[in-house]
Amino acid sequence: MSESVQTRVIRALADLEQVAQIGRQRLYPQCIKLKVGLGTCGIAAGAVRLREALETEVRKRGLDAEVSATTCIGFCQREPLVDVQVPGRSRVLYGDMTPDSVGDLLDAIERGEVLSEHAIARADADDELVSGTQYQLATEVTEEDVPSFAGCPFYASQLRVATRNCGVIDSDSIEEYVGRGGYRALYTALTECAPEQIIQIITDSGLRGRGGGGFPTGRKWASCRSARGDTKYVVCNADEGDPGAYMDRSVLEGDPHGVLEGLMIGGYAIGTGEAFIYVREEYPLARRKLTRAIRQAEQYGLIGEDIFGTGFDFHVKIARGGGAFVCGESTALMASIEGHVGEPRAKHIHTVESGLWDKPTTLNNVETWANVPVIIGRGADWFASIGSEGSKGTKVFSLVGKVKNTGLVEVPMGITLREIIYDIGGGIPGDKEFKAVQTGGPSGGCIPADHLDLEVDFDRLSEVGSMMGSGGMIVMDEDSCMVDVARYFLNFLREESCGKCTPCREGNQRMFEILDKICRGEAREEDLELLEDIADVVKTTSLCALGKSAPNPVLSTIRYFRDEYEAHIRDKRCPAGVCKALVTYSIDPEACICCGRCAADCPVECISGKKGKPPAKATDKDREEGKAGEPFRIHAEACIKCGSCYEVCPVGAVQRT
Amino acid sequence: MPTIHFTIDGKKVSCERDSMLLDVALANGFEIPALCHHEAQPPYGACRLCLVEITQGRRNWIEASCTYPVRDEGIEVRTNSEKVQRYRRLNMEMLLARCPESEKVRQMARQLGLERTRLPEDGDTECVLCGLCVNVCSDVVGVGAISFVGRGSERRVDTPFGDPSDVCIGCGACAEVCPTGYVSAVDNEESMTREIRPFHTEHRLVACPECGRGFVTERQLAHLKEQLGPRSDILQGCPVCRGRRQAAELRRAYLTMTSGT
Repeated sequence: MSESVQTRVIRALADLEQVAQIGRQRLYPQCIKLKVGLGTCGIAAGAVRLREALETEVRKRGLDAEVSATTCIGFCQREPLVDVQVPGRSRVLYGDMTPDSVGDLLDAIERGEVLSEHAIARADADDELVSGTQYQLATEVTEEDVPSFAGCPFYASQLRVATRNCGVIDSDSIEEYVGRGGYRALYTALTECAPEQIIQIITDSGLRGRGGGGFPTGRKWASCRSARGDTKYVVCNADEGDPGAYMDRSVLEGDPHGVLEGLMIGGYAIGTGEAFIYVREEYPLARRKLTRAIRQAEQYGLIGEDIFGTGFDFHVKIARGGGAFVCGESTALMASIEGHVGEPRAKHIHTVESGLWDKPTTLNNVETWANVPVIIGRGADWFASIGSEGSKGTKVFSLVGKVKNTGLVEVPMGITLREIIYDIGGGIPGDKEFKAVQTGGPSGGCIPADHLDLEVDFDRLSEVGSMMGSGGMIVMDEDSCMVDVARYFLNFLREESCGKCTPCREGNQRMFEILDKICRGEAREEDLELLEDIADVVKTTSLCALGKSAPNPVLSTIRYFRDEYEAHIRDKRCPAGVCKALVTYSIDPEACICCGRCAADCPVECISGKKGKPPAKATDKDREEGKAGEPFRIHAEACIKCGSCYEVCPVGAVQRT
Repeated sequence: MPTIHFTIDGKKVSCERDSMLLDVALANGFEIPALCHHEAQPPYGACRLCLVEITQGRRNWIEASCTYPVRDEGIEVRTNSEKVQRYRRLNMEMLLARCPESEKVRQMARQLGLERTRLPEDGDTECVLCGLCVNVCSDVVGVGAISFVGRGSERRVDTPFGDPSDVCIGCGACAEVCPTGYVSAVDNEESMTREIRPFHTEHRLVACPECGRGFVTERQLAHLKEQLGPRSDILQGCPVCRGRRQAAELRRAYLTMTSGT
């Protein structure tokens, strides 16, 4: 859409304001606006068909409404999501929308009502974070039956800084980005601040790298600025590869200009106009959005030569990653951009001194860059007022696993795990007990219930043996076996280790083998000691951060759930009933009601018995007439331990031991 | 370059700033085991056997000495502490399980006091993945016929797609630097061929015009001629015959000189 607009180069603030006007008209048109969440997640949940259904129905009814696209609105559990904006009224977010519910939604809108069974939350005004202002949507509160975002548990404790535009704007429209205060911070930086001042602001804000290490961003920039060399680079790491994590993807899909603007401010501060964005090939939508965003910014002269007439030039290239997890490591990523095998090197000489092609290079991840325009816009003090003692600002987490509300959440640092899991996440489904939460990606650690009141920030998470990582958060309930969990992550890591150094390559493989042995009930006491020894040597002597942190899943589960390891090894028992080799299913003949459902469901037909009245209830007459049943029993030698009999038994007669 | 003063096992040593710690230690007569270190190649940091313990003020840590640039005055390095031995042995246990057939690995393990590993000795290779062959081929020879293939425990050294290499010049540098003998260059005088194992790449040997021995592969000769340009006439004949010829010339020159006086 935006391509059709006549663009002219933005030189002055007035030009930017003109584009902002266009953006605001698009964001808040004089007609009904139906925004569908079309991020990768929404598309997977069926949002494309939903949009088509909306378009068809709007056309059919001749409704004065436009159907538009946005990306991740955050509430994954309730996808597909539609955001409805009627001029003069509160904006309402609807969830669990299907093509079938489109008619009802439009009926309600036409009646001036709310489709309450799908309504999630309402907004009476939109915050424009970068400038700290608000856009008033409704003059008075309408739709008061729907909770406000502040009153909706999933959104109440969230503060969206890096994700400020995600699910709000159409990320294919630079005008909408500018309409929400975009590129204002770049203008301020280029026209009013010396590079050193920018670095000072970032330093004072307390921003730390969101990619995992938590290194102070201002300090990194300062080192790179003072490093010797004419050619320097800024790089954005978008090689997010943790299983179950999608923070960076969502930010890139939802707000590519936010990342670009941060990158440009960083480039200016460090003293370079050369940038790379390393995007993994598994993120095709993010790459497309980014490519388009770069083209749009070039058309407006926001990327290119002499930006805002200040003499600052900026060029950015997208480097496509081949999907190796290790390429998220800074030196491996740079090797990969250079065209070499993606392998890390020893980092005693930092990349800020000698990085890409041996030139001083500043690498930050997507979320870090996305924070930068806001910090410049609102000031260091504003940013530093959010968060905890040592970790300022917010952090985006992908909250997944055994929680009622899965989703992409952004919360102030220092919020407790309990608030994230129980308030935002809504707790554990099915009245199950919380067991542990895994943070920090595959090489993070598992944190048990004792630490639910832990304040989530870089330092606290490390203290309990886990880490912030890039922000994956996987919740596990009582049905999770912690040995099996460690085994799962080690399986990932042994395959994703680059294999360069001995401890990481051999150690992760060997740890996986031992964990597998424990899960099969074949391990002995000394295997646990060997496992701890290997974990120690991998942690202590590996070359890069992948190896140094790879033993975390093992070490943290041994630390908090040693009894589970011991149960597997000594008693050949899996307390959670997950490890197939250690589980046996049997049927209590006293409790069996001879209904035969277990036998009907058994995929290998290893359950036999006779349907009928249970022996205890059967009369002699029943027996004579052949109506008496015989309790069912499982033939252990043929059982594949799939557990379907256990699930299907209506009286709990099937036992898992 | 400024000079840095520090100690290794209590002995005072000094070196230029940013010298690699392993090089300094070896030059000062300390013994540190390593598999991926070669004086003709930049440090790689793969085997993690050259571990040392470094103390700097209150900090104390284990470090691979090959990739550690010495930058700080007064650091205390220990090459054989209990901690160092523990971690060297643990890495060695894993290498031994990987390469149970390698005499070199077994011998190094024995030197670390390790007769056997607690892990199953189920590896079926003699390759320790030190990277010397890959790096010598690409960085020193400048050919790049072999590379690492695969990730993690699947990693191995191979030619593209495992096919005989079409860029290999058969120089045998890979075999020369291989610490375990996994890579080898085997000459067959009868068929006048050289095979680079295990990359099943075969080369034709060029016979020395004097003694008839195959001394260089055709492609290596072409490669060297290209590099040497006008000076490539020095490649006439095998090194032994060249030496003999030069010795004879020297002798003649000497005799001429002495007889003339």
